[in-house]
Order: sequence, then structure tokens, then C-alpha cells
Amino acid sequence: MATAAGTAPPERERLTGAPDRAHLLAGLTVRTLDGPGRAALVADLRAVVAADRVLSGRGERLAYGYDATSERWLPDAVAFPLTAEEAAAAVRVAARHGVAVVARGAASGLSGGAVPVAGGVVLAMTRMDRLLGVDTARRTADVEPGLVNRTLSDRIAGTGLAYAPDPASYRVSTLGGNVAENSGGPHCVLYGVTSQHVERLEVVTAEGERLVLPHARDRAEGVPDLTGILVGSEGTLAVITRITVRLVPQAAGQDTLLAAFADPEAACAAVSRVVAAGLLPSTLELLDGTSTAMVERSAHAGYPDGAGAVILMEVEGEASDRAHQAAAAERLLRQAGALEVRVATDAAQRDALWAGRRAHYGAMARVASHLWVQDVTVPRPRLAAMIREVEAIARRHRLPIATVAHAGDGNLHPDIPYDPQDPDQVSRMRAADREILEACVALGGSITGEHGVGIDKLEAMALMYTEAELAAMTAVKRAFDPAERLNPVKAVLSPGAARRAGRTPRRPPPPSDAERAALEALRQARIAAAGRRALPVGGGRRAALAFPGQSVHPFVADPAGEGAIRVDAENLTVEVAAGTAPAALAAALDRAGLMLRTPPDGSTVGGYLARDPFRPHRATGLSARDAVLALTVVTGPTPDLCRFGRATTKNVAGYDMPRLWVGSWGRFGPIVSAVLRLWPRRETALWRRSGALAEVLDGADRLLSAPAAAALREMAVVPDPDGAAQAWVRAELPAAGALAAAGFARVTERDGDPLAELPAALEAAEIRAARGEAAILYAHGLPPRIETERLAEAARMAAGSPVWALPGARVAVCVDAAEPTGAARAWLDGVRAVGGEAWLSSGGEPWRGIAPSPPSAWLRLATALERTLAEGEAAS
Amino acid sequence: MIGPEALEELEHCNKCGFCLPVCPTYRETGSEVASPRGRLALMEAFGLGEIGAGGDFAQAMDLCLGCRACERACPSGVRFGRALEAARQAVAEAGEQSPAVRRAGRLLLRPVADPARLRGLASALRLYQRSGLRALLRGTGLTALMPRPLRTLEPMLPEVPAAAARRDLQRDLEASEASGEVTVALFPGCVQDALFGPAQRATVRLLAAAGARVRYVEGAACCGALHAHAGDREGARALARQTIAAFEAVGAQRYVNNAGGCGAMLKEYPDLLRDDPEWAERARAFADRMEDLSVALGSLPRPLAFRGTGVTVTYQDSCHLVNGQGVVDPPRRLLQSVAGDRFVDMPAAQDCCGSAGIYNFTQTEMSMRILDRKMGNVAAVAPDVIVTANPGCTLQMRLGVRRSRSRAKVMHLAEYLAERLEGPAPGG
Repeated sequence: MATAAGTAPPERERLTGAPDRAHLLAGLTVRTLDGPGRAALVADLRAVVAADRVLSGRGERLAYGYDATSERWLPDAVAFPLTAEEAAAAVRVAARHGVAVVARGAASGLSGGAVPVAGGVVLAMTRMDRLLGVDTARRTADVEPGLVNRTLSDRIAGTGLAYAPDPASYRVSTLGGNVAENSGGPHCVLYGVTSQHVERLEVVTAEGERLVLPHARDRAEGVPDLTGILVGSEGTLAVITRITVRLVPQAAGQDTLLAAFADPEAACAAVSRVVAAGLLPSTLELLDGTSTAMVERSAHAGYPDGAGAVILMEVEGEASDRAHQAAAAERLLRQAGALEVRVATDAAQRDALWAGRRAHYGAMARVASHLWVQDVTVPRPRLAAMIREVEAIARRHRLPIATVAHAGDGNLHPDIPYDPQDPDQVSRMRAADREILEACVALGGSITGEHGVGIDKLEAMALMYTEAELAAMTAVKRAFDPAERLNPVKAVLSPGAARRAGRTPRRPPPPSDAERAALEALRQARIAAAGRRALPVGGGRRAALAFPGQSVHPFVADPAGEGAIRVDAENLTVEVAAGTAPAALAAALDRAGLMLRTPPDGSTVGGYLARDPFRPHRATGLSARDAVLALTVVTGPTPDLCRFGRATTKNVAGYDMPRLWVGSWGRFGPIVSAVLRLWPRRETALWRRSGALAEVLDGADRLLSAPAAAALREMAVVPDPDGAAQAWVRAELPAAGALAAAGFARVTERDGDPLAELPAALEAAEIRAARGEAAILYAHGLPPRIETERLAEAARMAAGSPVWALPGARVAVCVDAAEPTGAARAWLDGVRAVGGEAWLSSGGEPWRGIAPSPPSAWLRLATALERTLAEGEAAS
Repeated sequence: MIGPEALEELEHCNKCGFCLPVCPTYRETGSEVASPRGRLALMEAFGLGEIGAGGDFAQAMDLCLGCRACERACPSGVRFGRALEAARQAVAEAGEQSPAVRRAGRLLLRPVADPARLRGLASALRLYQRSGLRALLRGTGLTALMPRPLRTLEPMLPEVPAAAARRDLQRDLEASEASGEVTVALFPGCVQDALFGPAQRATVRLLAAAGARVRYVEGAACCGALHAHAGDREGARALARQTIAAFEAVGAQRYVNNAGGCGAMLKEYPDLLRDDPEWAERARAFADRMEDLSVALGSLPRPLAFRGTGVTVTYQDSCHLVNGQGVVDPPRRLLQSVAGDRFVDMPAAQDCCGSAGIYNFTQTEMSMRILDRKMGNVAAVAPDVIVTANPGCTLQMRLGVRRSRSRAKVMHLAEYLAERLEGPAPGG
């Protein structure tokens, strides 16, 4: 690994266009290679990949040294694996040679994520580009990382399903790259970012071990969301070799509206009005006045003359619903002072309205020889203020900056044209760039929305995070990749590197009383625990049942109990203290006319988030994790308060740390407060159907694969031992027609609401199981062919105890026996045999028998994370 | 070295990668080195002195088809074709051309610049085809003794027209003089003229039917595209001057060509000669008058009507007609106007067929991979006729038809249309 004693390592070659990164590279242990070293590396790679799939020529290596930033670096070799095994073997070769590994998709990234700043091996994933399968029942697709986003969409077009995230680069960029960068796109305002569309990952670790990570949502309690932390980690934690993506029903159609406003304030106020009225546009784009003028000059899109801002909005759905939404939107936009509103209802008109937005990059790219596309977010109510800041910065630095924004997400792209040959312009561009980042942080936003940190914004991480927060992210890196071989000096800035770069991390704000109490509680608990695991508890009902067989010291992290609930109706967020009772939160949201898509249950909001419990009836396919935009937690050796995420849809810069806290049972420290994403409350009703199990499942299935599925909120099929079943559905009213067609009849909640009672019933069963008085069998991913049979078996096995199932998704079976019978084990095996996943909660072991990855693999990572987070920064 | 004009193109590349999915060689290899962005990056590195003109650099430039699909995908408007020519020129100047490129240069570039020599070669080829030598070689398997690229490409050699065909052409030209209302100067093209008699004659008949007095500009040279693409820009300039002068001598208001590859080059003469004070303005006037046949037919005095025979027809775009001249719809409109035939666009019709000038000689293996993918798309339509708009595409598609055992007939747009022309065809 280390260079032979006595010989100085060969100097790292720096190409023209590579900024001086010496201060960042200084802490690295990866080797730089000389000619013979490189030849040996190439020979070893050729032995495990294939001779003609390893590039070593200087010109060839140069072609793998850049992305869509202007940085240029030189890798030592490029390998094109065709299989996960080849990728793993290549990582092992790199490890043996002590060099870096950078996984690369299309290199269309705008932050330098794929550039090999420390040399080493570039793993070109472009030839692992197969679509491995589409499961229309579970609405998922299995893909290799090199598959291009657009190709996936094209290939599944006939199934009625779609992959929602659509970054501007979707024609080019690979899904592996999209996952690594947690890509966004114009449709995020309705569908969320990539992180919400990834169900599972298969990866190669830094050591070259292949690993199937736990499912992002349907996993046993206490198992950390390792898939979630991987998404957006920019190739620094593991190499992605297979992705299961979530698909959504294709929209029945779109209508597009264009509205012109006198200034950005008026445009942003209009956006707020639309959102406040409960409309859910699928895209909500904004062009500032400079942009409008610019695209008019080049594309002649016919955008209104002299508009200070233009909004493009799209609504989706069935024709009638769409017409209603479009009419409402038009009225609201006019009321908000639109100078002009145009509505497009067919493809040609829609194209005409989009023409200017599509021409934006091209128009800007022709202003000067280069174009720097910035990417920042602010909470949506502050969007107009941020646009004004950018305008002021542009004036100050005499630069023609034009801003387009995903207005619904508060995500701006100020585009700065410049000439790299002109040092004065370059320095003005850099100064403006830095000021834009500072401004967004000051307004409570994130230094990146969808382009990632990469190398470009690495030092700017210090603007956004405190020393403790940077240290916590660095600890995550260390748990996965202690030798810093995977895409080194990207995504996360260690406190040490910040010091070397002369960057002072953000000063932590003074803690509130509750935060101070939480800090003190963890400190005391650590002392009292004396080597045992200090485990934060919420309501305390389940605390002692966690980590069975291990010595734990439970402590209450928020002795103040119920804390503040701050609803920001304009931003559609709520900030809530961990100790808040779910019922109190629900009441507050109800008063504001808002809701959570995955409402908490249990004793406290914090406890619910820390458990992210398996709830079979969620027809949205979402879980607790999907509501979380930001968390304040206590962690680290001191310990310290850390705030991860921001109150925006595109909330992450660096690692998506809140993912680690949601569902990991507090093993990384207590949650103090959370910012959750809200939705306008929609009226719902309850429907019911009964009949033979097969028929009921068939009806449910039809419902789930119809476009109306988007309006379903909860569903459970409950089979009984004699072959009959009942199904309940809670849905928004537009689904009424589809429900009737599937044989469902509307019932009133007063006659009983099993869906509302389900979480409490399941939790009671879980507590009994943890005490060893019962068992629960969990499964997900049953193919529809098999489902009827397995559910019938489950009902017989449960013998009157509850069985709940969401067709094609999740099943929970309660068994009233301390030790599960042979039948139960056979049932679990049967699920696994058809490609599903199943496990057992009994005798206090909630993750017994998780397949397909051996628990040891993720347990090792979870334990390493726990250790590195508690240790703080390593010596380097 | 790479000249300043080309360097300017490189500086405009933001490396966004939007060109990757439209590049045929990137699609085949998934390799950045075989992509437009990668090639530009190598040119940049070469310009910065980080790599030499040989090795990886020369190979990367050789593997490019020069189809310019990337230009249409580029949001920054980088003129890739221009940069590629400069890069190939640099390779040639450094003496780093591959043996295949050098051989192709000897075999093709010199003869095409000299019509007499090309016709001589054509006669020899005709002799080979008609004398029974071809049948003998094929029958005995002796084609196996040919160098591999020639062996692969041998079946695509067109049937060379007999001298009688030239006399027919002359008759049609003379007839058009009597019937025409406007004078149109037709660019003969070197290969098109020597090897594709039927297409030439069909072009004349169509133009005449549309009301043109057709002047066949015998004095025009080869357009120079093969030279420019191979890096010999000076050679291309000499041919351009000769061609412009020959057209000026005809005194026509409208100029027409029927080969997409040539047309793109002819339209680029102003750029080629922009630093030549004597010729720059003349080149502009020349390019302004020059049109592809499919465009010209839409605006000549007499509308044309076509009646087909109930066949299914598809169209293989010429890269340089689409990417160089932006001509996508006019040929399709003509094809759709043929009553009785069924026109169906094949998937990815605008993707290069792999012919690309001398590419199928210099990069036979890649050319065949691209062609085989193309024939897969052709199969999806199952056409009776594949219409093309450029001689290189015609040859390549004929080879593709053989390789894929398709039953389709490959015809130049002019041939297909002229066969279906309704009404009295002058001189026909």
C-alpha cells in the first residue's frame, strides 16, 4: 500500500484546467503511480476484467478525466466492467495497488463528481447498461447502473408506468449517476427527487465485496437505511452495480400554462397562491427577465415582451380533473397579477410554450465560450429574495447572469457565461459564484439542489455545516471507506481538510432549551451506560425491547416532552419537536388544511421516525423516511447538535444524513426535532369490498395498476382462514370511479375504520412479539401469481390473528405463538423462493432471517457507522 | 497543429455530453474515446501539447464517421465537423495517418479529383463485373484472397452503367432544353456521375418534368468532401474553386445536387474559402443558389405527381443532408406524395448507416457493426424499397441488404420518384 521506504512518491501530474487542489489532496493515502506502477495496475486489471476493456493510453485516459465542469484530471487506467463481479474484482485490484477508484456514468455532472482528482482507476459503467426486468405488479424496474435515464423511459413506455426523475441531462445521464448525485429535474415538485425512487441497491464496497443493501422502506426495524445513505453519496461510499427503481403510473395527460409577470416577486407570490390553494402542479418552472429576453433573442419562442419573470406550470391527470386544475390555476395566476396567461392543451401548443425553457441552456451557452450552471436551493417563500440577490450579484460583478428555477422546489440555476481565457472574467465569475452560495445559505437553503457537491463545492460545504456536522459526515465516509479510496475528496469535507483549505466551518447557532436538554441527556446517559449502548427513547413503550440480548441504557432524550409545532403553510413544511405526540401534530396540521402523506403513529414523532415501522397498508409506497426534509440530532464524541437537511424538497448537500437516523432505533444518537414535508389536505373516504380472496386481490390489483392509483392512500386486504377476504381502501375522492369499477363500495368511518386502527394493532402485536409472546412474519415483493396462495396459507397459519396485505407490496402476519411453527418457517421460505423478501419478528429479534443479504454484512456496516460517529474525526 | 478556427470550436464545448447518445460509435462502444466529446477533449489535449498526433489521437479521429449527428445535439453550437477536419489535417501533417487511411487516400482521393481517371476505373470495374471475373472469384471463393476490407465491401460495388447510359442522359438533357422554363445547373458529382448513371438520368428527368432546362455541369470537379474530411483542406479548396468557376460559366440562377454528402460540402464553400479574398464572395453566391434535389423539386414551376405500385417504402437519411443542411422533411414529403405506395419511417432513420465517405474502407469492422444495427431497424419496417439520398449510403445499404438477407431494393430518391412519375416525361 505505502510507497517503498526511501523513494519519494511520483508527483501527481496536473493538467491545464485542473485547479490547485493540493491542500485537499494532502491528507490522502492513495498512491500516485509512475510508469511501471501504472503498467502493473493495467496488467492486473486486464487479468480480471478483459484486455480490451481496460484503457491505458494517455489520450484514452485523458478522455476519462473530465465531466461537464471544466476540471481536467488524469486517471491511471479505465476499466469497463460488464458484471458486478468484474466491478468488484477491479475494485480489489485497485485496493491491492493502493489507488483510488472513481465510478463514472456519462460524466454529464456539473460538480466534478466523476473527475479522478487523485488518479487511480476510472470504472466506466456505461457497458453495464441492461434493463434487467420490469415488475408491473410491484411497480419497480431492476437496472444496471449504466442504463441511460431516457432509455429506461423508452423501454418501459408500453407498460403504463414511468420513471419520474427527469434531470435536464436525462437523454445522456445514467441511472447510476442519477443515484450517485440524487438527481432532480422539473418533475420533482410532484414526485420528489431520485432518493424517493430508489428501493434497493446492490453495491461493491471499498474492499471489493459485493453487497445487497437493505430495502429503502420495507425493512426490519432497527436496520439502518443504507440504501438511503448511498443515494447522493457521489460514489464515495460504494460502487453501485444494480438499482431497483420505483415506477409511478404514467400520467393520463398534461396541460401546460405559461404566465408572465412584471417581476420575480409577483411570479413567486403567484406560485405561493397556487400551492396554498392545494393545487399540485407536476412542474413549476420560472425564468427570470434576463432569461426571457435571452431565449426570445435566440429561439423566438414568443414569450411575452418585457416580462420580468415567466412561469411554466404543468398539471397532470384525467382530462376532466386536469381541465378543472388548469382553470383554477389560470384564475389564481391572473388574480396574482399575471400580465398574460396562456394555456396549452395539445402537444403542439405545449411544445410551443416549452420552447423557450428548452432553449435556455443553448441560448446562454452561446453568450460566451463557456457557461457555468450554478445550482442552489432556498425555502420556496424566499425564492424571490434569492433571485433579487442573484441580480444584485450580477450587477456587482458585471456579468450577464440569467436564472431559471424549479420554482416549486425553491431550486435556482443562475447561469453565468464567461470566457475561461479571460482571467478577469474568470475571477469575477468565481467571486459571483461564491456570493451566490453565501446568499443561499443565509436564506436557509442548500448549496446544491441537484448537481451535487463533487469537487466544485467541496470547500463551500464549510459555509453550510458546522465542524461537528462535517465531522459526522466524515465519520460516515470512514465507516464505509476507511482508506479513502472511493472517489476521494468529493462530496464531504473533513474538518481537517477545511482547516487546510483555510475554511472556517459555520458557527453553530445557540441551542434551544430542548436542544440543550437533549445534549445533556446523551452526555449523562453515556456516562451511566458505561460501555453499554445508550438508547434514546420517546414514549418508552418499546425502548427496552430494542437491541435484544444486548445491554442497553435507555434514556429520555427530550424530557420537555411535547415541543413546539411550527407549521410553515407557505413552504408546506412543519418543524416539530421529537417529543410531540402524533395526535397533537395531526390536529395542528388539520387546522392548517395540510397533511403528511405518511402520518406518524406510536407515542412520539421522534420515536416514530427512529423506528420507521413496517406498515403494510400504505398504498403510496412511501414510509416515514419520505416525509423527512431535515433533522436535528445529537451525535458525535462530544456530543454535539447537528442539523442535516434543509426545509426544501432538494434538501441535501453532502450525505443525506437524516436517512441514517430514520429507522435505525436511535443507535446513532437521539433525534431532537424534524422538518417534515406537507401536502395540501385532500378529502378522503373509505371503501370496502369483500368476497373470495382471489377476487378481492384481483380487484385490488386492478386498482393499483390504474392511473387512479396516485389517489390511493391506504389499502389493506385481510384474508380470513376460510378463504374469504375483505379489502379496505382510503383514497382521495377522484379515485371513486376506479374504486367502483374494481367492485368497492363506499362505507362510513363511523361503522369502523380498520385502516386507522391498523398501526396500533400492529404495534401491540410487535410488543407482544418482542416480549416473546407472539411472532410476526413480514414479507414484501410477492409476485401476484403466488400471492393468493401465500395469503390463504398465512390466514390459516394465523388462525384468527390478523393478516394484513397490500397486494404486490407488503404482508404482515401475526401468529399467536411464542416460537414460530414449521409452517411459519415454510411460509417464509416460500416467499423467498419466489423472489420476495421475508423475515420474522419474535423473541425480541426483529430481523431474524432477513434475506437475501446476510445480516452480518449490513450489521458490520451499521456497527462501523455507530463506532465512527461516536469517535469523531480520525487522526488524519 | 490545430488551426485557430478549430480551436474556437473546442473552446465552445462545455463537455455537457449531450452529444453522446446520438453518436453511432459511442453507441457501439460505450467509450468516451469514441464519442464527440471525447474527440474534442483529445483535440484540446493535442492543442495543449499534452499528447501527440499519433497513437490514441489518430485512432480516435479515424474511428469517427464524421456524420455530424453531434452537431444537431449540441446546445452550444460546436461545429464538430470543422474541428474534426482540422484534427485530421493535423494527423496527416504529422505523418501519423494509419495505413488504411493512407491506402484509401491513394485509392479514392486522387481518382475522384480527376473525372477521366475515375471513368477509367469505372470501366475497369465494369469489366470485372461483366467479364465473369467476379463470378469466377465469388464462385471459387477466391474473394477470400482479397484484403479483408475489400472482401467485406466487394458485394456492394454497384453495377457500373454502360456507355449507352451516358448517351441516354445526353438525350434527356437536350430534351429539357426545349421544354424547360428555368435554367438549373446540376452538379454531376464524381462517384455519382461515374457509377450511378440511373440516378443521374432520373434526376434530370425529374427536374425536366418540373420545368427545368437542365445543364449538366461537366466542368465541375469533385466537391472535395472526401479530401476535407480526410484532412486535405487545401486539396478541397482547389476543387471548390474549379467547381464554382464551372457553375458560374453556365449562367443558371439555380443550382441542384443530388448527393447529400456533396451538397453539405458545396454549401460549406463559403467557410472553406473565407480567407481567400478572390473567392470568398463567389463561394457565398454559389452556396446560396445550391439546393438538394428534394428541396428544389418543391419550388420549380411545375408540380409533380407520382403513382406507385403498392410497395412499402422507407427512407435512410443522408447524414450530411440532415446534419449538414438540415434537410429532413422535403424528401419525406415527396415520398408521402406517391399515390399507391406506403411510406413508413424506420426507427432511427437519421442514424448514420456506417458508410461515411471512405469510412467503410478504413474502419470496416465498426462500419459493419453500425450497418447491422441499421438493418435491424430496417427489418422493423420490412420495406420493399429503401430510398437513399447519397451515393455512399446507397452502396452501404445495398451491402446491408445482402448481409441481412433482406428482399428490399435500394434506390436513390430520384430513381424511385422518376419511375413513378405521372404524365408525359419529356425525352422519356
